[in-house]
This record gives sequence, C-alpha cells and structure tokens, in this order.
Amino acid sequence: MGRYISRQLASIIPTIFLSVVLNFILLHAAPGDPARIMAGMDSASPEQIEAIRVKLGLDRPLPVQFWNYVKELLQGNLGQSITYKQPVLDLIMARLPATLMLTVTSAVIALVIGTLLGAIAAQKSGKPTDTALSFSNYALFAMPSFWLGLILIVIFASKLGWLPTSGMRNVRAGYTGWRDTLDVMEHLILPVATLALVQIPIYFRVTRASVLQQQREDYVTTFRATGLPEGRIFRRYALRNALLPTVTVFGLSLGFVFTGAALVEIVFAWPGIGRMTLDAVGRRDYPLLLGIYLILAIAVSIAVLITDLVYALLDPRIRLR
Amino acid sequence: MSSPSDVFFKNMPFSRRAMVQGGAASGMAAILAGMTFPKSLGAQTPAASPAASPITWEVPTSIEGEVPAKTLSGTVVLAAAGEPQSFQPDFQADDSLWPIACNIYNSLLSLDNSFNVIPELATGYTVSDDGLQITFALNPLATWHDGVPVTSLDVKYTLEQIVADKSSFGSSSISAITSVDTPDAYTAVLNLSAPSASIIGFLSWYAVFILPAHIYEGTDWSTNPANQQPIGSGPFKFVSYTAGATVELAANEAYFGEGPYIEKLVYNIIPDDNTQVQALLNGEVDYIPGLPSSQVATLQATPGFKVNEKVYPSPIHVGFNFNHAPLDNVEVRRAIGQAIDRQQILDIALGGLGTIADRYYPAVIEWASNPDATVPAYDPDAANAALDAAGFPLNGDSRFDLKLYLFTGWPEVADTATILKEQLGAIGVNVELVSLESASWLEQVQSGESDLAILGGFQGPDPAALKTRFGTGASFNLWFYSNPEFDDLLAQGDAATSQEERVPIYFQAQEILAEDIPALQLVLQTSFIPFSDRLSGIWTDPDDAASSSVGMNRFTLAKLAE
Repeated sequence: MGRYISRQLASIIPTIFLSVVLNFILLHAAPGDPARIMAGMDSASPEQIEAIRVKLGLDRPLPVQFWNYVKELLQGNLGQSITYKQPVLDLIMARLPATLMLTVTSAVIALVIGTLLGAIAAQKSGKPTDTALSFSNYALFAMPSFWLGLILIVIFASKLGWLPTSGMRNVRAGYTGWRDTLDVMEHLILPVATLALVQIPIYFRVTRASVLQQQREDYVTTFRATGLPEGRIFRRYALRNALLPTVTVFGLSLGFVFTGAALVEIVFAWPGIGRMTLDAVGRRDYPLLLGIYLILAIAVSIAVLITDLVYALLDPRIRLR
Repeated sequence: MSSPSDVFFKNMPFSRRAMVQGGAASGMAAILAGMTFPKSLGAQTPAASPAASPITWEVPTSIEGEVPAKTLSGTVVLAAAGEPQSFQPDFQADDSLWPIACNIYNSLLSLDNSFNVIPELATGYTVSDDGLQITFALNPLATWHDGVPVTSLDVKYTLEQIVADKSSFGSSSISAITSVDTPDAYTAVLNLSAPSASIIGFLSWYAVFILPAHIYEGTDWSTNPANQQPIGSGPFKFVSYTAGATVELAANEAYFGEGPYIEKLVYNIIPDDNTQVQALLNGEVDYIPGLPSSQVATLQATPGFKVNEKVYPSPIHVGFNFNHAPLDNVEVRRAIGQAIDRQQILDIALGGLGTIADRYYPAVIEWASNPDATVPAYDPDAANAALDAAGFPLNGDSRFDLKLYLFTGWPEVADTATILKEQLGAIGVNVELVSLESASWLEQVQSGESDLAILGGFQGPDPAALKTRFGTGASFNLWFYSNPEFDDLLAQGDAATSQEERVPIYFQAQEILAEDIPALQLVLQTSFIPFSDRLSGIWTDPDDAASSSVGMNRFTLAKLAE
C-alpha cells in the first residue's frame, strides 16, 4: 500500500507542472489585453496603455514572463493580482472558505440523496416509483443552475418570505457570535439547495445504472440460486459493489469545488472564488487566473489521488496490480 | 449540472450589469455597453465646458462659518454590482469602486444629475484671460477623515501625480496641467500648457478625487496600505470591507457641507440584476443602481418604491470599417443607413424604453447637438437604388456580405444586431453576426477584423468627446475614419473658451460626420433607478433638490424616513 501511495504521489508533480505550462500558454494565447482593459476606454492614449504594459511586465517576451513566473512560484509566491494589486494567495484565501462551505456541503448532500434515490429506483426498476424518480431527475438535470436559483429565490424569499434573498449575512443586523453562525446558515440554505438539486441527478443515474448492472452479475444469480433473501443480496453485495463508480464521480466532483459554483455564486451574491474567477477572466488578470488554476490543478490531483486510495481500500485487486 | 465544469462554461447568465459592473472590464465594458448607470459614466470621456454650465464663481477671500450640525439616523443599504479592486480611486479605472469612492472622497467639482458642473471641495474657480491658469478656492472647513485639514498641497499632490503616472486613468485627460501652485492653504492654481475647455469637465468626473498628500506623498500610490483603508474627505468614512460581500461606510460627522443624515451606508455586492430586484422587493436593499427593462413595469406598479428615469448621452451605434471595401464608399454607407428602421429597433430591442438617436451628437446635451446633422432617413427603396447605382447589383437575393461584431452581455445590443441583420438583409446585404466576449471583441475590432461593429458609449456631457470616437487615430475610433478637417475643428472647439464660440465649431464638425457617415447612431436606452420610497435626498430624483446640489452617486443628502 505504501508503495502504491508514493507512486501516485510522484505522478502528481509532473501533472501539476504541465498544467501550469498549459494554463500559461492558453491564457496568453487568448485574445484580450489586460493593459487595454485597465486603461479604461475613451481617454486611453497609446502611451497610457504602453505605460501600464511596462508596469505589469507585459512588455517582456513571453518566455521571460514565464520564467519569472515559475521562479516566483518555486518560492511559493503566486504573484500579485494585476487588478487588485494584492497577493494572489490572499485574494484566493479570502474567498475560498465561502465557496467551500457551499460546494462541499452541496456535494455531500447530493451524494447521499442521489445515491439513495438511485438505489431505490434500481430496486423498483420499471415500477411507477422508478419512473417518477427517473423523470424528476431528468427534469432537474436539464435545469440551468442559475435559473433554478432564481426560481428558488422568488418562491422561498420573495413569495413565502422564509429565507433571505441573497448574500452571506444580514447586512443590516450585523449579528455576532452564534446568532451570526445561524444567520450564515440561513443564507446558505438556498444556494446549497440549488447546487445539490442540480448534482443529485448525476449520482442518481450512476447509482441506478450501476446497481442494475450488478443485479445481472453472475454472483447475484448464484446467491439467488442458494436461496439468499433478495434484500440481503441487495444490501450486502450488489449495492456495495455498485458504489464504486459513485466514489469516482464524487472524487472527481471534489476537483471542481473551487470554481464549479460560479454561476450559483453570482445569482445568490455569494462572495466566493468562482465569481472572482469569472471577473478575472473578463479582466484578463493573468496572475490571479494562473493562481486559481494552479490551486484547481492541485485540488483535482489530490481528489483523484484520494479517489484512487479509496478504491484501493475498497477493491484489493487495484492495490495489488 | 452535468458536471460542474460543464456548468462553468455554458449557461452564462450574465446580465449586462453583471458583466459590466462585475468588472468584466473596469471601465471598458462600461463604454462598450454605453452604460446606463452612473458608475459606468466614469469610463467614458467626461468633459463639461465651463461654458456648458455657466458658472461665475468668485474666489472668496475668506470663508466664515463652521461645519453644519449633523443629526444622524438609520442604515441605508445600496446594491452594488461588482466588487471594488481597491479603495484608491485615481490610479486605475474601477467602475465598481466609482460609486463608493464618490461618498468617501471629494473631487474639486462634480456633475449633478443633469450633467451640470457644481462645486464640491472647491467653492469656486476663475480662469485667467489667456486661459492658461485656473484658480480654485478650496473649502477651508474640509478635513480628512483622520482630522488633518484638506489644503492646496493635497490638490497639488493629487493632480501632479495623476499627470505624472501615465498609466492612471485621468492622466491623458488632464495632461494639459503642467504644475499646480499653492499661494496659500486654500488656493490652488493650475498652470496649463494650452487653454482647454474640457478640463473643467474632466476635473468634475472620474478618477480625479483629491487624495491626502500626507498619506500618499513619497509612496507608491498603487500599493500604499491606505488603498485598503482609505482616508477621504467625503461625507462618509470607510469602516470595513468584507471581501466580495459588503463595503461599510459611516457618517463623517465633521463633513464640511450639509449632510450626511444617515448613520451607516452599506454597499451590498449583488452581481445579478434579477437578484438585485428581488433583494429590493424583499427590503434587503434600499436602492439598486439600475433595473433590467423587463422589470420596469413591475417595479413601477409596486407600492413602496420610486423609480427614477435617466437618459445618458450614450447612443447605441454601429460603425463601418473604412479599410474594408465596399464600406470605404460613402454611397454604400449611406445606403446601409437608409435601410435602418430605428422605430422598429426601439420597439423590439428596447421594448419602447428609450428614444431614437438620429443626430451625430446626442440631443440630451442640447446646446451642443446639431439638429440638422442627422443620419440618413429610413428609405429602403432609395437604398436599393443607390446600391444598384454604386455597382452592387442584386446577385440572386444578395449584393455583398458583411460581418457585424458585437460583444456579449448586453441583451438589448444583441437584439439590435439581430434586427439590423434582418433590415440589411432586406436590401440584399448579408450580415453575419460575430458575437464575442468583450475583451476579445475589443481586440479584434481594434485590429480591424470587423466590417461593422456595434456598441454604446457615453458621449457627454461635452462634445469634445466626439474626438475619441471619430478623431484620427483616437483610441475609440474603431472605424479607422480620418478627416483632417474634422480633427482641426475639434482642436479649435477645445481651445475656444466661450459657449457662443464653441457651438458653431461643433455644429460644423457634426455636419462633417453627417456627410462622411463613419457610423450610424441608432437608439438611446433609458435607464431606470428604483429605490425604497422611505429614502429621500437621492441624487437621481428630479423632484428632489439633491439632484442639483450633490454630484452623481453621492448620498450626502440621503435621508431615511422611519
């Protein structure tokens, strides 16, 4: 097992480096010029744009810019944001907790509910319960998250008045202590519900398909032939084996917890990192984007690693290979 | 979501506001969008001539009196569409900071709701006979939020620093300033390299807020720690910023003028405009900076809210690339102009919420707008005949193909472009729409990829703004249009000092545009600013004295009823 872990860990480093190179090239290859954007418009003179370019170091050849970036990176410095004039790491760290609160909570809720519904549907395969569940999941699957979010706002905040409209805190009240925690949780309900609702169908479909497949496997037939009760076969054997793909999907989805909620963050005015990423794209804030993408690359790599490890735990064949 | 990454890239729900104010481009998107709200104005060319708003302040020899007494109550929550990049308003364009900065800082002068120049930190100014010196008298009661008095040294530091830092937003617009003299603490004398009628307008506008010299002098003004903890002289003091969420300001009880009346001013950052409307309806915010046209009727019909209308001189217009045949032929450009039915654009794309723009300078700025310099009138038969005559006969049902470049995030412009495609198709001009994200759009249009490009853009409050759109080599002359006679007239217009002198010059410049047809003005969108009717003293409210006594975005006189 130890060798397995170290082998996987070693593979992360080149992956991350490659992603840094690719991100750098792709970002600079995209049209759009941060200096021009920063200059503002009408009064921008060519000298003004050139002055900004020199100030930002964008006048230097691309390989030199890349070398400087990597040099700083190796010292653990993600650089300064072009637009915010603050360290990239600080900007990311100021917004990451809000995003994680949203994405991790909703991912776990979606995993549990989606898997549960998927298992139920598979067990009742072909029956009305299955049809109803499948239908509603397809409907949810087709819904754009920002639209669903707005609908939830209109129903639960505007019509019923049960929950706050947007943001993370009641800005008028200025609560502190436990009342503040409660306030944040109240504000968390709608965005988390939105994100969970659009993710549930993924787990639902994977689990349902996987359970159905397991139930056709030879070992299940053998169990049935030995007279083992159907419920026991399902719970102890078919379901457990069927959960493997769910683990994969969950692991991969963790890689996207940073930026995957951008649209929901915008609709709910949630001060997260996804929203900042979209802003940074619009402004071509290269250092900030590179920083976010780097963290994203690390997150995906780690998520994949953990998934592999869980797999190895669940399935001895993998670690022996 | 199919997969989280998938959602990230598709279904972008950006409203124009989310994009523009969310800062898709500080300053930039605003001009493209021709913004309909105050904060956007900043990105444009400000320029009010002293003649435009005839003010004849005398420089006072002494000022008596003391800071007006304040009675404070309540918290007002304003929606803001984007997060500020810093709290230093002068070193770069930042449309998200602009409305907030207007309440923390002061500029020498400001512009009221009708684009008139009004006093702020300066109580008055005089221009020397040769036009080379402008003398400002400062309000001696003004103090910085840390208690230090505001003096002419602060004016000197700020204006000289803006001019010196070529990368700052204001540097080119006030570059005529060669130095600032400080004969006494409350008198600042601006020395100009040449007379400039537009400089007063620029000093009333954007990114020219006076900064505290005692904090900034001798430091790098783009990284000074005060950029996160600003010290201004305005009606509200900075209290705190919660990243991406809220900016909290508190009343400045030592403010030199009337107001403020509210205890706390909180900016709640809500990027999505539909969410802003819901937050307003649910009482979580008291004011939102603009309303999507689809929501105007709802808000107007809901008791408890006031909706102000505001028309900015920011026409949606489409321009021709002079380097691409056959658009270099004025007959072709005129024929295309004759194919456009503006009423249809107004009715469909704007839902009737706006006006037709058929002059080369917006009629909103009445004194400078030539009513006879208009775009070609709608006449598709004449258009067809002209194109036949110009050597572009119908071949099947088409004459030639054009690419129209538009940027995403402004639904009304996308609709306008679609209608243009239809209307030009009717005279056999095949239009292909190329829709790009704004930064890419700008780069490709500026490098000459497009045949036609559509955008908005603030063009007031002074006609000097025409230069940046149509002057030879100007940054926003996306058409590669060049007419030395036009350039010459604009230079004359800026050097002239009285309105009587300037009017005929700019009228003539507009006539040249009407002959050359580098672009076609289409429609002007009306913007709507809704707020709770518990608020009074709002700068956009034409029924309120605040609309002519405080500058844009200032909540100096805002009051909250119980």
